[in-house]
Amino acid sequence: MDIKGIIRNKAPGFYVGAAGAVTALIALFVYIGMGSMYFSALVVVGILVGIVVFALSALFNIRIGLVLSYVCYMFGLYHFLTLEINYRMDALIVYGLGGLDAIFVVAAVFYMIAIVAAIVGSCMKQTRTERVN
Amino acid sequence: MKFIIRNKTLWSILTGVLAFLFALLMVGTFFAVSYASMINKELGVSSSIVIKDENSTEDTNYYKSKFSSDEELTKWQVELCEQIQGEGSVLVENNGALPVDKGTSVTCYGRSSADIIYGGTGSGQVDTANAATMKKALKDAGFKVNEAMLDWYSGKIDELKAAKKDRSVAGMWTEFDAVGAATRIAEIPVSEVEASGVSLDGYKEMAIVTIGRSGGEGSDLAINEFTDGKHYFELQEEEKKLLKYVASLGFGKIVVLINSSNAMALDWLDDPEYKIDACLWIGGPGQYGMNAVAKILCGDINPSGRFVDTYSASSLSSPAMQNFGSYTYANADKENGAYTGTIGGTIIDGVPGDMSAVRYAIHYLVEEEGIYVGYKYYETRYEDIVLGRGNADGSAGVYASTGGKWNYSEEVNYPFGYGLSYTSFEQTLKDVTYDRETDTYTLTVNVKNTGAKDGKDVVQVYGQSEYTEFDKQNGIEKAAVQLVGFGKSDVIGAGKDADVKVEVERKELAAYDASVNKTYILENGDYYLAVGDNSHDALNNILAAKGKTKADGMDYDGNKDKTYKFNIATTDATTYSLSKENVGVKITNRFDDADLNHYGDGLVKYLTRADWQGTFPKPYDSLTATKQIIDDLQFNYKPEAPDTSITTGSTATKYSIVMMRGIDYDNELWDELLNQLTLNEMAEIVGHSGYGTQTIESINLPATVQADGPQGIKGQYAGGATVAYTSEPVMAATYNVDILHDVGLSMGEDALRISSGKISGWYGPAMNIHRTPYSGRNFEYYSEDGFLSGVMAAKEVAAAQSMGLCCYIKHFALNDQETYRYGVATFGKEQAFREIYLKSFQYAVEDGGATAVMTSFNRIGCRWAGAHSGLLKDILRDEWGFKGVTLTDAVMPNRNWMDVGIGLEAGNDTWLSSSDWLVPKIEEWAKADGKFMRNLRSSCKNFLYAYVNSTALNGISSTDKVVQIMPAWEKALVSVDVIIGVIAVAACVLLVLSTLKDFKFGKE
Repeated sequence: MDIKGIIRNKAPGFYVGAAGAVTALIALFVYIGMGSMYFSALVVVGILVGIVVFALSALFNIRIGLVLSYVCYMFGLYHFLTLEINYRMDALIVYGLGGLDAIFVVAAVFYMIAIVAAIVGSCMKQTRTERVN
Repeated sequence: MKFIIRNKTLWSILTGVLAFLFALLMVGTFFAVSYASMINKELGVSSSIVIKDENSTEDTNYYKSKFSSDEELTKWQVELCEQIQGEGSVLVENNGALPVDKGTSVTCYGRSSADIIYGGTGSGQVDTANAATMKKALKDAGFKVNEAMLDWYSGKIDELKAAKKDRSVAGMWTEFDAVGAATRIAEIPVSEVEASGVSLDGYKEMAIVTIGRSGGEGSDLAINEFTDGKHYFELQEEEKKLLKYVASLGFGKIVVLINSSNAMALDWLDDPEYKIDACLWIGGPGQYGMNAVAKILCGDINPSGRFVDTYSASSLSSPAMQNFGSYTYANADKENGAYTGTIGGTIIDGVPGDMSAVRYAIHYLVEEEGIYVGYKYYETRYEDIVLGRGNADGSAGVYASTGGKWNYSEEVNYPFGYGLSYTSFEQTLKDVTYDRETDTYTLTVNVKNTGAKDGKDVVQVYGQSEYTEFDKQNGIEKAAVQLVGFGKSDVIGAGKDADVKVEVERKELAAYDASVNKTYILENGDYYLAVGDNSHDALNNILAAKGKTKADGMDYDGNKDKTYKFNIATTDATTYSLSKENVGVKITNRFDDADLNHYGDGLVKYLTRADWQGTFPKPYDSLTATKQIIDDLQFNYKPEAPDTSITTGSTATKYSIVMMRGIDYDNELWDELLNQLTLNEMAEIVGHSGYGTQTIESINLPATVQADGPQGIKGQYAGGATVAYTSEPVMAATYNVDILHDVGLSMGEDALRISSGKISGWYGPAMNIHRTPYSGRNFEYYSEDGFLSGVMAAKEVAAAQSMGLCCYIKHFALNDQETYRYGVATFGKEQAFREIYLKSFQYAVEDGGATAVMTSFNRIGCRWAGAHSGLLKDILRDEWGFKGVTLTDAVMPNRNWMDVGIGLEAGNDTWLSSSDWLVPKIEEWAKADGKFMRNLRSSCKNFLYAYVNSTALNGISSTDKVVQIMPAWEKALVSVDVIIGVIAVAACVLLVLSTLKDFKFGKE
């Protein structure tokens, strides 16, 4: 497989999606670093599967795979937000958003950026040879 | 069309945006459904409907309003609110200035005049948006009010609020950062008052200066110095300047209002610089209390309140204040300067590595003062000075005394039970009888109105039991006086008199001996019952009976004729050692391990009247958690093998919960009813019990709704907020149990009428003790005295429950400070726990018949109160005969020290969680652990037993069906989810179609 050739042929959409995957990976590290007592493997699975699906989609040029990729991220995001916000509900009730701790906010922001990047990337041209509409 | 369908970019964008929106909606839906009971309560909708049996002829109106209309009820409640304030306000000083004539011109000063502190903050906060203001109340009472001044103050307060420099109020979590330096009284500077330009012309007959202090849930008041170097309950420099300024303006009269539910130093009232003519304590006046205050000022109401706390010259002088606030184990671990939550390297069960500064197991508190709380300290030390014993006149504990020796007159401004009237009364102890059968003394006291105005008087009876050698040797403490009975007269006309009978149960004179007999004992020795105007007066009367005079160091001579003395020849360690409620249950030690000395001999030396100087507490701020302490902080829970013998979801019987109304707790029918519950239903009852419970279809129990308190029931009816009564100290200051009965009835009425659904549970009344003035929630608690608190609570609870309202008496127990209430380990003596801190709860259960209890966040010793079987099983249920439900304080996913397994095992039944996160966990635990399952079932029974006799079942017959429904808002939310989800999928399908190379419109 000519990986170099594939990469050379990639359009900006791929790079935005790749940036999303990298950001998702950072979000994953931050999440693990949180040491949350409500740590969920589903969050990890969501992110990792999303990244793998993105890579495969990019490799084999399967556009629908990009959608699957960010759906996986969203699956993880759902579990991340529901568990972690529930955990912080007492602080939220009292302080509002200001009651959220920094590391959670960092993880959430990276996670959101990853998803937005994945969505935006999926809407763009993936390869130089791809025809637009 | 072809172009649109093949437009990959369009479908990509739509798919992405809709999928993202769907994901966020799902998160929102998760929380909305989790907290559905809260939302339902706020929206006033129910998650259950009743399918009526048309053939049923049962009268299902089990609890009925006593009022024919909302208007009639509201009118009565407004009058009641004013009556409480009228009888609860304490006239502190009066040189004859009060009352004044109607029409008197008045100018008000002090920010609190324009911004009254109606109560407190937190769960006890009530809606006072339409509360009577000073301006309106005074005008309605006929005063000529300088409105321009109050308007000017209001403007300045608005400016402070806009600049975020308004006065500090206690609040959740602020205990961790609200140090004194950050606390503000935010009095408007005199320079600005002077510059205001507000004319006093025509408004100089009287000045009112209001001094306010706030309190609230979640944090205590700042203990250390703040703002201008003063303590919170001292008069601040700006307030002093204001008083001097007002004194300089030439007003005819100057009246000070104390707008604080917490006792503050009043040593400045007689300062000649301030020229204060009169002072009235108004506490937290609630919604309509200010109307009564205005009526007191003009004489329409003659004040008859008496203090429920001791007003010491220094708010820091009590022995309890020496250990109040924040203490952390010396071996609590730190990392990068921050506590990790571990102790000595050990992880404590249930203590998450959470995101806040709260570390749930590393804080402790040692209540070295023992029973010497409030007046029991000041009066006892005074007696020992007069009797010349116990090194009472030493320097230890000197805060206001001059000359280095402790002196009562300088340390105490106003004693417990103190209060004046516009008239004068003479009380005469006419007769004392003892009824052996009821073990009760009845004192007949003649009250003569010797003044010129009609008024009510309070008869206070204090008891004294001898402090013996046996006590000294065995660590038993005796207060010189303790309130054992009281009564309030009706209005007595000027020159008239009336007899007031006060009953005193002899059990009140028994002391708890934790050392030798390990139960209550009535020791041999001399006993006194004394009538007095207040605690100090009663003690002086006792001292007079002992032959003491001013020559012995008394501040004035007492009247021995107001005392009754009797002798007990032999110590009785039996009569009071057995439960009144459950035959054969022995009352014995339950808190041995809460005594710090349990963890090492001599770790703490508790205050004893045998040696005031040597044992006056010092801050216990260097406790190292021993291995045993660390071990005891753990859950120490041993699960058992699954129990398959427990029946769940049985359809063999189809009982309805309504059928159990009036059925005895021990009736076997309960077992069959409980068999019908599914595991999920049991988990819902126990783990999802915050502000209500869900529909339990198997037994036709509708969703229940519970509301916060205790100043009123939070909610709306008849288009307005329910009545916010005065703060609890004002209620107790009435010393009128009939008023508390009416307050209870009123709560029940509100519960029936509140428009957001039938309220069947009320998180009140609260009855912790004013251990110090600095507890943030003192406004929610009655008094520093357990007996007064208990008698008042019992009346309120009994009346509210007669209306079908389950009263969750709270916070059980020892939640007497807010600082680190989340898990603070409270160490102390069993005698103090029982005689001071549990007494109010005991009365509420034994005399008030409370069927619901809210447990507290803190630990007793090392054990969370909600997992303390000695407290919840041995004392509450066995000794006191409690039958009903216990509920935690608010529990959330990161409050894991409030563990379900250890709580259920110890007798805590339900968890105050507004969301359902615990439900699946409980189901899982119950399946795996037989003990857990059995406890779960038992707790469900306790809950059902409490609620079967509540308004929850109003309108439901034994043959009606109760069905869970999805409220409209929930349906709408799910519909939106589905629509967005379907559109997202459709967009995705079209995206796929648009990218298929063999798609009929052509290749990609």
